[in-house]
Amino acid sequence: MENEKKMITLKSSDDVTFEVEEAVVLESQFLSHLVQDCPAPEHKIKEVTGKILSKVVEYCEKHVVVVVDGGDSSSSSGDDLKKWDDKFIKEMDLSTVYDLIAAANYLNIQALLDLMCQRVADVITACKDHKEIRETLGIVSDYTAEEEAEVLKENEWAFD
Amino acid sequence: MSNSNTIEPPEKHHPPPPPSLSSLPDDILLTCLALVPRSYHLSLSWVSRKLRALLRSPQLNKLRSKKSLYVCFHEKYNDSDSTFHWFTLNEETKTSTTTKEYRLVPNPTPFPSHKYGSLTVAVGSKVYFIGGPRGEPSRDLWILDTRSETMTQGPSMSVPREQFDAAVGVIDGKIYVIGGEGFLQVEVFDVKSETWELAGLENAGKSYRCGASVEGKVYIVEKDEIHVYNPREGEGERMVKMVTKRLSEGGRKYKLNDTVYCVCVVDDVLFAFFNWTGLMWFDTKRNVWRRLVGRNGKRLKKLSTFSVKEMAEHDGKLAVFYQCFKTEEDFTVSEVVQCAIVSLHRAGDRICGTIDWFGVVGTLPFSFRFLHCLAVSD
Repeated sequence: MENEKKMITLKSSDDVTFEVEEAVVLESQFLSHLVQDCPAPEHKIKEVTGKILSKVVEYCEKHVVVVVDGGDSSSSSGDDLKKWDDKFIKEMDLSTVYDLIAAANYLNIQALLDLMCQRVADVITACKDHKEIRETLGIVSDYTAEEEAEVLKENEWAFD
Repeated sequence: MSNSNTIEPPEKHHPPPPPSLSSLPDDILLTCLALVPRSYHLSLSWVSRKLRALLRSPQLNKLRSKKSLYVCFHEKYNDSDSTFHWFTLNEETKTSTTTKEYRLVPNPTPFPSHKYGSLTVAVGSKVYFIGGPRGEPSRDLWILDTRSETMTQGPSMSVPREQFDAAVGVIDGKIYVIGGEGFLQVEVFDVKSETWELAGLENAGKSYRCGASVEGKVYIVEKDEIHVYNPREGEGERMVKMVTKRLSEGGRKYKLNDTVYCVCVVDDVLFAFFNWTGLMWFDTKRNVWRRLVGRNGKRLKKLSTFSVKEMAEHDGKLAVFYQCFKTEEDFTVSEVVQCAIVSLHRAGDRICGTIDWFGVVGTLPFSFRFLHCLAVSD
């Protein structure tokens, strides 16, 4: 029998605390180095808010469980995880996606970063045209009015 | 756990700027853009100057997952003696003009031989040869690993199948083989666990010349009907039959009665080359074929339907191969392979094409015949 699992406390920038198993922390390269270098029971992550950190913890906990339990890497557990990932990103608004991208980048969790980037790509491909991309993704055009008119003229076929 | 709502940050009095994609660092923006199919790049480049610059940066190309186009030719001397020749489509940028040139180059290490003809599909860097050639149904599965250049025999199917009597499609890393030898049995091969599984019986069509998967469904394209297999439905209800229709310029649907040469999928869109109608794409929202037109709304004239042999995805574009014959001065006949590289652009619910390049990619001996054309991950 294994000893009791080692627990680590993560504290967000706005002082929300999360108690997680060490295995969960190891999903993040940044945190695994932090835990190894400084074996304190609590780690403050100044760059990530409680709202976003809760999402990060939710993601990492889900992905750790599957790897440990599905030791035989059965395809059904892989399918379930994919379904879970799909649900996880579908329920999220874009501002959370952007914050989560920044957090995943900072904490160095590649799989989460990839998943979030895929979500941005999916949002882009769901847009009808460049105007909808601007509106949905909050991008302000830096084209001049003349350039814009030229683009529209060149591509009349695209606008009924 | 959550006590975050008690402290109000002082900025709350001014509404924060709306969340913007532009707030992300460039390297992450590039990662996101690399995941967007190439056919969306044109409308994306109209969004802002910054996005246009990122789309044109060489880093973006490095981030996109790369596939090579493999073309296999079959050279048959007699019934028992034949050889296979594998080529890849190479892209060279001429330094003097910076224009691209395409050529078929022989694969340096020849792949081990396999049976002539079979249902063939590529998943990742592996090619799967399923069943036997026309008239020789077989339960065999052979797997070619293009990285290690080895051919291994996989587990057998439960039903023998031959080329043209079953259709294959790939959905989420699983190969769906539909039809075969008087059965309407569907079998599924999981490429990860390398195991077959029976997936029930379906009411299928007469012939299965062209199959491909888009939007998580397998489309089987025949002359006047399309069968769509959706694995997420209940057994016996997974196959839906549709009459082949096309959308006219005026927006009306009418029956399309034309023979299909070949189909392929680019960025989850199904394309087919028809005998008379030429290159069409399938609008899955309206369930109709629509002609691939140029950005001026006119027909792509260079894409003649004459002597089209194969079609495949190449780097987010469409590669259409033509085969014709040429008599040399010494009266020997050689085979000339031409190729058209077509860029695809999405705008609203339309897809338009531009021919980026058209030319000869190789001159081969007369006896070479197109066998497979596959986009394989590097």
